[in-house]
Amino acid sequence: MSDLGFIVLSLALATTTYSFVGFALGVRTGDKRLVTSSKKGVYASTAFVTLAALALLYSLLVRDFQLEYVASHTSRDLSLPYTVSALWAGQEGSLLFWAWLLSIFASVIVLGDRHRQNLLVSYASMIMAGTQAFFLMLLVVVANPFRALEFVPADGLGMNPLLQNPAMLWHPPIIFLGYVGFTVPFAFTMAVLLSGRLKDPYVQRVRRWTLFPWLCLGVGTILGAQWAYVELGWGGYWAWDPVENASLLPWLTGTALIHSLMFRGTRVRMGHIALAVATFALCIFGTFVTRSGMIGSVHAFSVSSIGLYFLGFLALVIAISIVLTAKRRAGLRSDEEAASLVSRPSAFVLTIVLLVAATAAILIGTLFPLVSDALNVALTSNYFNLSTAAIIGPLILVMGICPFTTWKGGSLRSLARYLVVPIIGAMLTAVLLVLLGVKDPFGVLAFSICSFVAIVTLYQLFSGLRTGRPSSGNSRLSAFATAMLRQRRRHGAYVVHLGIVFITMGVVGSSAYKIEEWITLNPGASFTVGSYSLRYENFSFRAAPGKDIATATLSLLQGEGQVGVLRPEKQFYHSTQQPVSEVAIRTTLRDDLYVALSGWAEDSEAIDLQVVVSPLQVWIWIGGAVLLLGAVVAIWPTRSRDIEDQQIEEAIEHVRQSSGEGGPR
Amino acid sequence: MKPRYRFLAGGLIIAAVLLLFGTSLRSSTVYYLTVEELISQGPSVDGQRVRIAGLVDRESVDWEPGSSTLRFNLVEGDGTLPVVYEGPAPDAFAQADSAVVEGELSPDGVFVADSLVVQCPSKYEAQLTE
Repeated sequence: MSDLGFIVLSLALATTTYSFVGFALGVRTGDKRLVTSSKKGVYASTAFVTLAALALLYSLLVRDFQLEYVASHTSRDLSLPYTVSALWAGQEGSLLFWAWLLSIFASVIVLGDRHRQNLLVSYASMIMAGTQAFFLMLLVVVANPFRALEFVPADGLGMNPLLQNPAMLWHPPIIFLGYVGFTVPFAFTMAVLLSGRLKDPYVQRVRRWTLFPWLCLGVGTILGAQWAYVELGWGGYWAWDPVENASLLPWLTGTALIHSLMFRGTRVRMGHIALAVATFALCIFGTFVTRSGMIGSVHAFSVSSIGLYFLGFLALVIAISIVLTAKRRAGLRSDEEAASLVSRPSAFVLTIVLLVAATAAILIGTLFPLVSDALNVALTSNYFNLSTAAIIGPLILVMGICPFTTWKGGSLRSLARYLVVPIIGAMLTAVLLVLLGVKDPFGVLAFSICSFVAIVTLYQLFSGLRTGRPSSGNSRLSAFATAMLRQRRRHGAYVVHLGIVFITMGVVGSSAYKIEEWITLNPGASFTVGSYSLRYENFSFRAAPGKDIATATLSLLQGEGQVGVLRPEKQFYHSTQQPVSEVAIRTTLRDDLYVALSGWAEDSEAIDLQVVVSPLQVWIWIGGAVLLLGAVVAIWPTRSRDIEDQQIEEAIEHVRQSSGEGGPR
Repeated sequence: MKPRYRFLAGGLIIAAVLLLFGTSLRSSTVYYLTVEELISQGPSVDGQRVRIAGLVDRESVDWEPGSSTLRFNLVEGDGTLPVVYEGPAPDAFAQADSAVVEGELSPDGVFVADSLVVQCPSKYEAQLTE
């Protein structure tokens, strides 16, 4: 299998290089046959990479320990789902997985152009083939997943127990899908610059290809936070670790890119180019951070020379982008229409500026450890918390005001008219919070802003849905779905905004009002934290396949009676001897009670517990689900009749806007 | 809106962001030293929050279950720094070879840490054997 795998990888590299050169020569000379043949090369490359991925998967499943990768990441007792996840658990496998996803994206793009020969698609395919060639080169030269050992070990080293969590089945592939997906908008941006067709409808072409990876990165990041919360056992979900920031950074610039695509007009602008390149570069940077170990991380991936290749590729991407943009700068001059300060364009510009500022702040903090040693100074997590709060706060506020602005712009007074009700709502929230005993001004302010934005967003959403076409004979649910999908981009965006409000609520609640205690309990003793009481019932130690498990049983009491039983565990895997906490979490809409067993005394059965009350924690996960829903609505494929609807609406909107009235939408 | 005002508005926003950024930077930095650097700096860091990196002396690790206090020595070269950490050891501490602690050096020479981050040797670096 070792030889076969390496051979198909080499063939993939050869066909990809052929396609790259073929596209480049084909578009230069206008040779249609060469371009067609290069497209076939893309399909062939996809087939070869798929074969390689299948070969590795097969080797993992049959435990072919001759392969170093298989021996290093699996063992005989590893369960089936985690054996499959070993495909992306290690460096070589994850690079192969990346190449495989990219080859599929490349084929889909080429397939969409099979009846025509669009110049932009040819150029974009060339860029994608170039990127693909880089990853395949890494796989063939420095990170061969099919490297064979000189001996066959009796058993493999197994998988790190921390990675044996359901989140690890979904989180890495989804993040990868996001990273890889952002290659497409980057490729089309480069295609526009290379071809010089600056007036082509760039925006329509890249919009969906931007939304999809953006959605994947967002959902993947939240799944990662959930994994850290449940599995790492330190009572938090986000530590501003370089690996966590690695997926957040391109998500932020991706968000800015999506907003920049919503300006009127269809042609490419300077802002699109900067954001598409930055997002792609940050995706490569993210892969570099997680794979090089160059920035000290608690994740502690192994350090390897592969980092240098990534740095070189990153430098190449940025250099080419700058040169091409400079070359086309004359044609990129924006035909900016004059709008007042209180207008949709300025709200979007503000949104983009704030998102980029947040990205810059987090990037500086992420790179800071590189100079920490020289300066003898380190940044605390306080830096990240303060700078993002200072930037994201105003951003959330803009999210609440933006829906009432118009493209042409209006006066502050006309805007204020629409804001009266939500502002009253926000003030009521503030009063209510103070009455409920929330004292610190930061919290009151943050939750008031959240309620302000929630009121505005819900109003926009439901007024939009109500004015939808009356449907006869349909159930309410399907009527709702139809109305939702009619103006899917707009409604989807509002749902996403609602998700962001939920996440903000959860983040503020769980960080500003977190209670964390370390306690020692003797059997039968009780402990009170927040509104909860815990009574320590008993302790047990049992053997399970491959591990020993210590369990403490605690009764959870609230008010009058018992509301539940919590069983935090500590597991000791035979293979690694490293203890792994299985925390017990009781989730309600109000707060999470999180209990981790940190230790026990052999003789007295006294236990050490870490107890955390994390208010509104679940709203982060709910917000993530709402965000997913909204993005799916926005991406949902359009049927021809819907296109008609959408065109009519856009036409109406256009007339409304140009006749000067319009009002908010 | 005239371009002049637009630049003014943009400038104000950027100034505000930079200001916030600067203030948050000032309140969010700590001295980051190795064990030897801390020892050579002596009393100059007394009462200041510092972050210290070093190797964990496995022999010295003392954790009393039921007391939630972890004691161990961080070492580097000839330097040894006794550390007290209130709270349970992170799971990965059992196998950690280096650690980063944050806190203050008390007058008796014991480092009182309120944060403990460990870097574990990735287990994949373990050698495969026949």
